[in-house]
Amino acid sequence: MSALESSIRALLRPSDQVKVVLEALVVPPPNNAGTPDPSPRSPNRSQIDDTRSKRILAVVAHSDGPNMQEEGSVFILKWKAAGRAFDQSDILRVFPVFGGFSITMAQVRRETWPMAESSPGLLSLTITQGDIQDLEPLTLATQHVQTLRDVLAECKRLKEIADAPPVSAPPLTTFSWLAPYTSKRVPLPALFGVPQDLRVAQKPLHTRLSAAFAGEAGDDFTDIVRIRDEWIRSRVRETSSKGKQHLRMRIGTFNVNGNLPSQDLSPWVGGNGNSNTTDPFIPPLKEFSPFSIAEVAKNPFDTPAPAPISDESEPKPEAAPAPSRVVLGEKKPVNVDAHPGLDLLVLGFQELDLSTEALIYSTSTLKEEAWCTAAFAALGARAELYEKLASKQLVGMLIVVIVRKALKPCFSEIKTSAAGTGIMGLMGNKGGTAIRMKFTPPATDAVKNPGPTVLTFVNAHLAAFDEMVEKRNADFHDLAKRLRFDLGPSLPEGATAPVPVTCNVFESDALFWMVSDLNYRIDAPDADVRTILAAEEWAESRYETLLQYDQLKSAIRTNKAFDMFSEGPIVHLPTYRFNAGLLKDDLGYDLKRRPAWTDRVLFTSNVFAPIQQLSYTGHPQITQSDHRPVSAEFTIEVDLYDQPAAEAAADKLYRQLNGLEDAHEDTNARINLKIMNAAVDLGKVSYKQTVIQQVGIRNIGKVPCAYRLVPVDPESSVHPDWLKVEPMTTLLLPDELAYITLTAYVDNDSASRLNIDHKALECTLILHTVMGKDHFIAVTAEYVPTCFANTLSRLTLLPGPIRSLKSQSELLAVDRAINAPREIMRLVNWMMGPELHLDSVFVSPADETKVATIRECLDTGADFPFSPDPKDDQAPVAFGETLFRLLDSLPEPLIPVELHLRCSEAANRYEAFELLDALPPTAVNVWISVTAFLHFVCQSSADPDAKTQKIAGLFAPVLLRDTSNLASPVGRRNFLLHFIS
Amino acid sequence: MSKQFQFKLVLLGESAVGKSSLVLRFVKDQFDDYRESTIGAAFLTQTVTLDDQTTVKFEIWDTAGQERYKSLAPMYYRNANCAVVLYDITSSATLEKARTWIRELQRQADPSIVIALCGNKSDLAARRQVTEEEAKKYAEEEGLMWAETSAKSGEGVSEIFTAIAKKLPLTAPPSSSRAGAARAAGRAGGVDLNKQATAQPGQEACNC
Repeated sequence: MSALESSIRALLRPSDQVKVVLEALVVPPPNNAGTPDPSPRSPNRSQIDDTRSKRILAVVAHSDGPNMQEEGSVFILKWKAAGRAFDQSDILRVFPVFGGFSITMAQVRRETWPMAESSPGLLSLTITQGDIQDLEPLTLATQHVQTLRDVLAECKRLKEIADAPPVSAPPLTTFSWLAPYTSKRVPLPALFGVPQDLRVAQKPLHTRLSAAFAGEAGDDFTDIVRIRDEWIRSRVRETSSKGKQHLRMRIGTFNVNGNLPSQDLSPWVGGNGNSNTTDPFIPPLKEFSPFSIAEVAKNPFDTPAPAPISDESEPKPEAAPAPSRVVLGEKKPVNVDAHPGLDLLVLGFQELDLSTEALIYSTSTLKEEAWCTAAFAALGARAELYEKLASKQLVGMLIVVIVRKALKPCFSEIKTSAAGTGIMGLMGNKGGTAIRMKFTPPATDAVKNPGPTVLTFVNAHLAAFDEMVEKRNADFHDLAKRLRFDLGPSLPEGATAPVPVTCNVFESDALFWMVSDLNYRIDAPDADVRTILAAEEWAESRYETLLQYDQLKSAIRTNKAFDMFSEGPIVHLPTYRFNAGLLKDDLGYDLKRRPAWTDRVLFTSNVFAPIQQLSYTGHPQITQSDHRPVSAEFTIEVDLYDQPAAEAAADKLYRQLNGLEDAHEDTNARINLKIMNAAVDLGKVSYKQTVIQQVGIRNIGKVPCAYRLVPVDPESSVHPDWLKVEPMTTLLLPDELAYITLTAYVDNDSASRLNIDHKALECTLILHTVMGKDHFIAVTAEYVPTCFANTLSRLTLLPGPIRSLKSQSELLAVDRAINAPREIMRLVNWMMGPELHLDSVFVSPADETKVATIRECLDTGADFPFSPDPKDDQAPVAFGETLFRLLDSLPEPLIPVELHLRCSEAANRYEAFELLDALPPTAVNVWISVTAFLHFVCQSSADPDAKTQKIAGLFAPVLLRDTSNLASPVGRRNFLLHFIS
Repeated sequence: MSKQFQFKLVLLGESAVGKSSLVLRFVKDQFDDYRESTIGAAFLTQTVTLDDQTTVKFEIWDTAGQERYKSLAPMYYRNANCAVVLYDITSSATLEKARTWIRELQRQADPSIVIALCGNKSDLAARRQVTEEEAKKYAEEEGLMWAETSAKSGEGVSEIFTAIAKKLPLTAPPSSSRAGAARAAGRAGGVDLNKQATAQPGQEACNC
């Protein structure tokens, strides 16, 4: 076999064979009268060496199994030197050999083709396929007479088979095997050129498929293409990855309020001259607030912020972070390898210029120069290592990218964009500026042509004023639409003229959004905000408490804006609005404006560029504006892969997978999945205990096969809330064995429902084979009821421990209900036992095994295996933890939500006790017992006042749980304090 | 020009009466002695050509017969134009089950649904428990089509599907189920050899 034949062989699928290969030249068709073409394009002597007119003709035959009729096609390919690989785009035309196919040979006439004059002995061949509309006849010329004869003989043979099919063969000649060579597919540049839109990439694949349910397959054809492309995308990068490189960057945002730089910016830009910059965990400077020293001393990114009472230790499936999100608090060694220190410094400024003239688009760069100079000055001695790479200004908004000089050659295709959303939706007083660039790691021996990673930075300044939160959310979406980068003209296949290509900010691997001066505020009463920020007793939970009211967090939570973004934990004071004059509170905040975190750095990325945040802090020592600057440091883990190798791998996978779209109906037997265990018994499933089982699925068909799980009807979900299924959709190669993981986990919400009457859990998962049948997987489990997540009233109707309840009919009549749930009373009574050591209760972390044992005893009615022992302070901690979690698991908070407002307004102990009359009797009993116990714990502490504050901070959000945050957090806390202090 | 129609057909009946075998015989003219129990629902198509050259394409949903999956059946017979309810002539219990299915279809399926009651395994007549008369009488009372079939020998199989095709309202093109439409669309997006010529790179200085 010749080298050329082998190259074509490599292009074909295993079922297809190359029979004859012929090198030839294109002969232009004769124009009207058959006279020589007088146009300048008329071929000349040099054309014989011009590769553009060279073609390769290959006769390819397809045969699939002994019963299949052989089918043939003539492929016309671009010419390539022997040994060069072909890909699908090299296939110019395909002439299937059947029906109206013909191929004829003739002497080349001199008058139609001048070249023939200089090359005597040229023969022409003309191929036509009249049955296919728009497939024009093609004429080629060649000197290889013998090969040409072989071509004709082979075509004749294949044509005869097509014309007289053997009786045994299926009647239909579909030529479907040609689909891989001719069908449209995602062009490779789409896999490697412009990254997939992050808003799409971050949604799980199964949520992007067509609507389907039992008996309604949906749009299988579109689905298979999506599943296939996603599968190739991840498989290619997985297999071609040659390691990682880390890019360290610092992002700063500063609303300068029209000022020019007048202070040292080094804390903000991470300069500080000779300071030790290799340790990213030291915040640049200590904050001045006496209350925040504790936070500064221990960096929150170093260790997880210790939640006073941690949740159950089992993994919560629903809390699993998306793979691209950073797991904050998990300190990993930061690899700064060859580039110690910062690689990139990205600074966003707002309100650079507040003058009236600046409202119209201004091009002045005076202010930009001043701030850049200040930034470089702040870098100190290290400034000489850096230079400005790009910047973009729109009126008051400026974004500047500063790069380590040594890395500058790695950045290319730097594009900028700006959009105003201010007055009339266009003016530049509000809006955003953005910079997009490609980072290509330096080539190494292993990776000669590294693939790029696209980074985008946006600096936005959105509408002001608290009540305009909707407008701000709209601005975000408007900016997302209007910030577009011009990638320059491109000539797509088939187009006659270059078309400009643009892309949006989300078409990146990693996107950082400096939402500086977003003006997202804190939706809590002004007095509360100031009290919580300043008062010492709130120190531990101050940020956590206030961030519940943060408008930006709320917009993200409710998917109104920035829903795909992450943000590091905020453990710095609000950055706005400071007042240098008299109208300020003790922390320096303007008395007329509620303090808020208006300066933020958000980020998002795809799986190929995971981001880890190293720090996030405000810089209160830079006081020249009414805002304080904010900085955040990150490392991006950039995938190192060889682009040509990845493209070749993608092409190979495409060839392997192509034809999927066509494999349906009459190929029913070819698509076949086998479910290894169609009935799964998960056994006993208890509250917050994870049970995992796997279902094996093997592709026993001859073609690649994709599946997706579908719900039974459009109103249902694919699986019940207590069950998670992973993966929801995937693709299996022939003979591949994959596993679906079923995870049962009963959380508070499911338990509150299941406790009522669902001992036997069952569901049927419907696994739809794309283009094929539906398989059922029957899942059963036995639910073990718990006293957790029951309403108080139901607990008081239990005749005994919840596990001994056989049916709902055994519940006590309402008039015979017990006074208070015996489970709560058992816990409190045990802890009130003689001479117990309660100092560590609600302080030290509890032993999870002990907590589980105690819960089991409450559910079964068994005696606690721990006897009160003054020397043992671990058991009381576990009991305290159990009580806390039991109260937190109540479907309704102990104090009904409708009373929260009145509770938070209770001015004194007398008014607080009065309010108890409005509570249901059971709730009063529990409230009295619990608060009496908490009071006892506080009083027996070495420092009763501190303990009281701590316990109030812990229990108020539980006993007066309120997710809608209508009542003042300070008021709710004070209500509890009336009882326990 | 001959007319073409497309109908959704669902197969129902007790487990192991031979639903999948009947479909396999009808669609591929094959028979397996040992078929695994269907746990799910398979979609197949087969076209029947009538005397007047009208073609009727059946979109067949072959469903699981096991009681465990009974609650899912309505999802598959929804919008069905016709149903074949199968029993096994060697087991009178399966006819009882067939009666239950028929009652359910009469109550819940499309009122115009054409129902055929089929006694399968007619090759095992020696072990017959359900007489022809009994089943036929019941079918007449309920206004159902009736036949005995053998997926194993092929006896009566194509006949019953042809009979159903003739009984279906061939006056106007039926509103085919959405699934059918989606599949048809899928097919159209398959191989399109016609596109070949237009997919030429514009840059090529050639006239091919």
